Amino acid sequence: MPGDLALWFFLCAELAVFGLLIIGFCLVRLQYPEMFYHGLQQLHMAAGIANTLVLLSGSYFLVLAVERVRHTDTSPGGYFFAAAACGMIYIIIKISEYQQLYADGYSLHYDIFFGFYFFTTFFHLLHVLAGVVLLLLTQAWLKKKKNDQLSRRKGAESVAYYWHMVDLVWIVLFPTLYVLS
Amino acid sequence: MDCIISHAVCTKLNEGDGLINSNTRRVTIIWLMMLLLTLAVVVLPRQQWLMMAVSVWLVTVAKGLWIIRYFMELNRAPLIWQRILQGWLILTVSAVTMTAIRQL
Repeated sequence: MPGDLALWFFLCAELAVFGLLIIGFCLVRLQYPEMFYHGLQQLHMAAGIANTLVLLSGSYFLVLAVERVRHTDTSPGGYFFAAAACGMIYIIIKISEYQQLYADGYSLHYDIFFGFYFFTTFFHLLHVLAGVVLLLLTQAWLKKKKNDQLSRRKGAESVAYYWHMVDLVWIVLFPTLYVLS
Repeated sequence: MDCIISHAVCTKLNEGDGLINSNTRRVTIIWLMMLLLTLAVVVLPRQQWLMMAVSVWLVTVAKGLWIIRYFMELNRAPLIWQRILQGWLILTVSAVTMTAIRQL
């Protein structure tokens, strides 16, 4: 089993919460098709694409980082920083998207669609933010723990799996919000 | 790698390098494919809505399965963990796609 067993229970619990939100979104969409049609048209496809590309790239850098931590005693290079930078870009794009929607008059209380949209994506954004903080802390921690290879490997893997879970959720949210609109 | 220590140690080190390189190559190809598929899904023709929805389902499931298998490395985990995550992925993507198809 890669990583820690407790971590996998935690990741499954997180996925369950996001799963309920996504299925709830689908059920409400069936009840209010016109409201959801109108709402989905207001979202910015370019922002969705850019966010998907940066999150996938962040995940890729983390796979490389974990690979380096496993097979060498040296530092994981700039891969953790690169992944954190991807997370920061995601956050900047998402906040600018929120600002644009807010300027157009849409907010959490506008209707059920925007309630779901802002709640779900902001909840996901908080996970990305937590991921960025964890990545930066892990990079610093790995520099200190140069002689404890087992801890280094476990630490790097745990942060990477968490990040991949956040990425996996976005992989599903992207078609939900931007493509199948 | 120049062999200045001993032949056995060098062989081991080179094997390690080989493992890193082959895994890195595979992950790089998967990453590039995921980027391309993300862009491909966006340019699909909207006129054929049903076909587009099915394509989106396939692409999203493929991307998710690659992440579960190769990024989260659940191909090394007991089958039950793979099935839980794959089940979550297929359930959510199917719900989203079927909802969109119902609104045709």
